[in-house]
Amino acid sequence: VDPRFAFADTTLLRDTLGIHFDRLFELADSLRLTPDTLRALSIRQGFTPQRMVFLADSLHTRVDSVGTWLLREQFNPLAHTGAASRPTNDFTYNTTYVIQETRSTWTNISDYAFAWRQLYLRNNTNIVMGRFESAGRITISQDRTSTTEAGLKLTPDYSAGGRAVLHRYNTDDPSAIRNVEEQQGDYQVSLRTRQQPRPGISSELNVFSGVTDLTSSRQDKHGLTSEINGRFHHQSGAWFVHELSGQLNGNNVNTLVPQTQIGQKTHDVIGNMNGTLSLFDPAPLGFNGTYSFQRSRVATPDYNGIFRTVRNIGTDLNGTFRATLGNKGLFHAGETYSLSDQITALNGPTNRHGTTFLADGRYQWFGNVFESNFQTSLTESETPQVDSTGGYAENVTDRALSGGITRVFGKINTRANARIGLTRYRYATIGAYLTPPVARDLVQQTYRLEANYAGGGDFSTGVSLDVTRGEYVNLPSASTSQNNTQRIYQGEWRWTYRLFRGLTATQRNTLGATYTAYNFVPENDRALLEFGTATTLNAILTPRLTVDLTHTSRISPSGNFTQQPDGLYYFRPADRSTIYSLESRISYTPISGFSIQLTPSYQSMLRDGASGGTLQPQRMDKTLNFNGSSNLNVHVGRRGVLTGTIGRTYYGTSSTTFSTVTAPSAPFQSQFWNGSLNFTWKL
Amino acid sequence: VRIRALLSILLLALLADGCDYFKPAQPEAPTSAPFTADYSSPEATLETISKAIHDKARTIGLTAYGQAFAESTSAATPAYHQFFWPAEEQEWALHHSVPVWTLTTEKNFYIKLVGLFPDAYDLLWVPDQNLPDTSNPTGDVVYLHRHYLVRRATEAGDEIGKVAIGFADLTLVLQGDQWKITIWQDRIDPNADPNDPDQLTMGRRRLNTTL
Repeated sequence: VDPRFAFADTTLLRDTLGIHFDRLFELADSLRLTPDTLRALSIRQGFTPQRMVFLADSLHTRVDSVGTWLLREQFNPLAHTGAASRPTNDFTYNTTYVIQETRSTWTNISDYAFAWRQLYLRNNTNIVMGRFESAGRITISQDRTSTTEAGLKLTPDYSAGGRAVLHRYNTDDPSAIRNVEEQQGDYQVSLRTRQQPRPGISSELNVFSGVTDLTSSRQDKHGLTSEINGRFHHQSGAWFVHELSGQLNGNNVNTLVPQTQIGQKTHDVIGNMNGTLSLFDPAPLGFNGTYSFQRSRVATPDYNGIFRTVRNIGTDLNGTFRATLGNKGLFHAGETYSLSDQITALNGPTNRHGTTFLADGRYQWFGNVFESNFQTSLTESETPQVDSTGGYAENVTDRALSGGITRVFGKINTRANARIGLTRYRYATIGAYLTPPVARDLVQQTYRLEANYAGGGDFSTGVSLDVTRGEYVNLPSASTSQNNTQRIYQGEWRWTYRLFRGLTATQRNTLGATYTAYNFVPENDRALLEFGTATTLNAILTPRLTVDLTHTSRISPSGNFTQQPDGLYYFRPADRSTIYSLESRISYTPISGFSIQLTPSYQSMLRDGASGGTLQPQRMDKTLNFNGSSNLNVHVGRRGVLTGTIGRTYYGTSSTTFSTVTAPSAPFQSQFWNGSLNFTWKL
Repeated sequence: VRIRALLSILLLALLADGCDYFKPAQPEAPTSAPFTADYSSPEATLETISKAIHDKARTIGLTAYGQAFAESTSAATPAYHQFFWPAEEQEWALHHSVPVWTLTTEKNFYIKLVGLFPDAYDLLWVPDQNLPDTSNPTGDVVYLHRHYLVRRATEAGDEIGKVAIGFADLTLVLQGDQWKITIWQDRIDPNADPNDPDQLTMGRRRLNTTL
């Protein structure tokens, strides 16, 4: 195993929904994604990480764009390459019910696809019903969308047809003046084409054009609407890959505001273009670049019924040079440029542009892995019309340098990391604006030392030390009284020992201290101390029955930490919180795909405050939680799958306030259903 | 050659630190005494937000307001996220894109909110009688349910009008010795007057600032 992954957070590796995450950390590292992002993308699409990477490679797109790609191709008849003589008749129904303490949603999605010879028909219907409770009042909302497309596949590369997109939305939200309703229907002819003039070059061009019919409580729109979208892919050998995609939407409609009965002819245009360029991808030296451009101009009535034009322009350029240093290291250096220009109804124009330079490297040398990262960015923005008097310009500089070394000594993994960073915010007033944000600097220096011993038998242990120094520096005199320097020290010792074959004990002990020094008000200097222990017993009683028992304690006194006339610093406790909790988790799996979990927990929290120079009890809280739930992942017949969790939660709390008169408050208890169930059925 | 390269990088790093590349600017000495930002308890953090709203960015308002919300400094520390009232979010999504609401947008929102009206502001927090406050077993995460009212007031404290009204389901996490808001789930107050265009939720005010 690469020593860099010896400290990976293994909680990410738990199996979910039958998907395994083998080599997740290495894969995420190679894709320059965080492991939890790659895991989330895998769960969302229902594919293993390896499958996600394979799909991204074959579609010439990024891993996080695979879902969008697949969704778009669902409706592309040219994407179906099955035998023309064999009809397809697929139906999928998916329903999800999510219930929480104050809100629940029920989602129903059906998807139907039919294809026979040149004919195709596709329908996707999505109905979301929500029920939300606030202060005893219930709000109901319903959102329904149905998209139907039918047509003829004229040749393998051309199809023509029509599509109807129907949308309805209703809510009785009491925060709105009246019920919010919207009915929208788009009826369009569709033309899809795809071209491949020679190997290595392929493209798609799709055109939709028709009429739109929108009736809502804020505006009515009737007129013409069009959409053009396309993609262009160019690959030459193994050294050049260029992918370009774009979309342009426009409409020419008569818009009427029911509230004021004022009508206007409006033209909306929304366009975007995205591209990726890879040069010499398999070679030791290479380049990866992305670029995007967005532009929109939309006329929309505000809440007073007055028409406003919202304009938006955005450009992003990103280029990274990559060098592989043999099989022991690599180096990246890249530059990013972004520009956005926006004119909105409420806030007037804003513009922002920024550049970022990034460099990072990694090298393995005699069993040591060295890693380093450097970043500097400059962002300038202007908001000249915050209010009628003017606005302000902002200039943000961000610099960071970090490095680390990892080494394995037999069964001991060691790592040391350090980072330093500075962020500067500067402001200039535009016009007579009186309250621009405060110019300030933020500095942070951290280092972390850690070591793990994995005995390979029944015992493992590890220690770590984190030290952080942060400075918060406001510059103008009106704001500097709050300037402070914070030093945080945190140490941890953890161990795991398998006492018997089915019984494992784990303990985590933490010690921490945080010192906050106010640069101009030293009498406010504070210190917080923390002592914590968490002990878990994990018993596997039978292969189907497991019990976890966790006891946690945390004691944290805090108070002033000030220098006295003798020159020494003294800690004067002002308050102390003492928390003890006991939590149990009993999990029983009678059959594969079905399990029952019971999770009772009890917590007591005592808060002491200084009174007359000594700490006295101020408040005691006791809480009992009980959650019983069942987890499902079962097949219903040959075509249905039911997954999810449903359970009931009970909690009761009571608190007692200690002052001159001890006053226990009335205990509070509540119980509610919670969970999420999903049923999918395929014909 | 490789050792030289590594040493060069190390030397550059030391030089960068030595030539004040990461050194903050020298601040001015304080001339006035603004309010003291306090995040030592969940209630203190909410009180600091109230003081920051009252400050209207005149002194340390923006700084104090921004520091009440969590900023993720590592994978282990969560960042602030605000969730809109679902019905308001869906209604907004009919005509606009719904932004992902993080600390950066929250700070911009503060500037816009305090500039909406020239009058003095007060923010009042009241516990939600229907939902008690709870915490996780280790006590370093608390879940508060609060009614909020941002109102315009005269210098004497008399209410002129409202700026925002609603409920907030808040998750606060202890980071070091400071309690920071990581999740703000916005809820409407059904008793707000729908005919008063200023009786909007904070979530709706946040959405309005994106236009």
